[in-house]
Amino acid sequence: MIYKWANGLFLYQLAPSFFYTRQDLVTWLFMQTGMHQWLLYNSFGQISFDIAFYTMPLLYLVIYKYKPKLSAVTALVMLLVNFCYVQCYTLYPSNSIEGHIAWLLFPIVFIPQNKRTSMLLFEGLRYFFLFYFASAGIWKLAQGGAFSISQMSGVLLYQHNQLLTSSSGYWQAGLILYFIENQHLSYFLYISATLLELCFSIGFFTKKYDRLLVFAFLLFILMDILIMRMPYFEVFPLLLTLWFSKAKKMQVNLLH
Amino acid sequence: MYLKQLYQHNKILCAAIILFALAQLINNIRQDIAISPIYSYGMYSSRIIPADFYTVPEVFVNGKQLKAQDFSAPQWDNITLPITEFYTQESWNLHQWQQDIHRLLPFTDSVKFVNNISEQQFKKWYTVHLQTILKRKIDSVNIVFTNYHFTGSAFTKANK
Repeated sequence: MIYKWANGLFLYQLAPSFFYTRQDLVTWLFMQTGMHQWLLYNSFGQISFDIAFYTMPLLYLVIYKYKPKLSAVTALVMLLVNFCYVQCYTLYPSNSIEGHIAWLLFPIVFIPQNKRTSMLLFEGLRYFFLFYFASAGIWKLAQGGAFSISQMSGVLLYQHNQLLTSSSGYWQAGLILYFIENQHLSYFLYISATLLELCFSIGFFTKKYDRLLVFAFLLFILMDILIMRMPYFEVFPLLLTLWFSKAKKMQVNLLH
Repeated sequence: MYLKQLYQHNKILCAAIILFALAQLINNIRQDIAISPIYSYGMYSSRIIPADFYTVPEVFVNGKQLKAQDFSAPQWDNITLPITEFYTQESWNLHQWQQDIHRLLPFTDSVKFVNNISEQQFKKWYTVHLQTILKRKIDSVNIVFTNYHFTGSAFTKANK
């Protein structure tokens, strides 16, 4: 939250003036509400959305502690708030909706009053997280990116042409240019990332390596920041599903 | 094992989760449009060949060019994304409406799917937006799209 605020990523800081319609059937239905247009040039609406979005987890925690009977309704409201916020937020020039998937799915775990149901949903999220990564690796094979030696150089040029032209003397620009020039080295990075993503499919068969997958994910995020300048912090909550996958007792404590 | 436990505990929930997983799989295989929260995660998976030329947006504030190195990655996105998306949103949004929305859903009015903002309005908004990011007064903002040639080891401005 502090990171997002410090980088001007709250909705009121983006203060959007237009939207970009994405290819999403549910989004098109949602857009009929006109909420995304109501928020344009609307400081009050934007701040209200930010407050609702960022305080809901805390509100849920307080309600769960002092009024547990209302916790299911609060979780449901949190799901609705997250859905509306993420739908609108990602229609503006900000970030992709795919990166916000944890906000959309995690509240579901807190809706059931039955602890066993919550635990099973939590475990379901673990499988989703495995799919999230493994499918990214499969896509790279299916779409052919993994079979093109110049792939990573092309990706880096596409991703960083602004950095390379405006800040050519900067250390990160130098590092990126080095990878672009050395196609085999950058291709090795791309293949390593693909293999790392594919490694997540092992989690469908055993939980034995879940902690290793957590470290693999952290390595992936670190490299993403360093080489791609893409901070994927929004996905972090899904890490909990791997970290606590074997500790049933801890899962119960974590969820309730 | 997981599905068996789920089935024994709650059959409806089990059916819902299987449905979600199947929808996710089918959507990925068909490479279809997204149906929130069902998406595909194939960013940078299709072949991207290094190009010879790149068109790069450049922002000049009070006559001085903004440099990516002076900002964090999200801050820089906050500076450049509005530009790149503004200059493509009109045709993109209209294309979405004509190509898919109008065809797949029973909506007759495009007003919810396209913007009503002129370039002049955008530039006025963008100046205020930049002032908030840079935390200083701005007298002039100039947005330029420059064509660069990538030589294999460096970018040079291309001749117009």
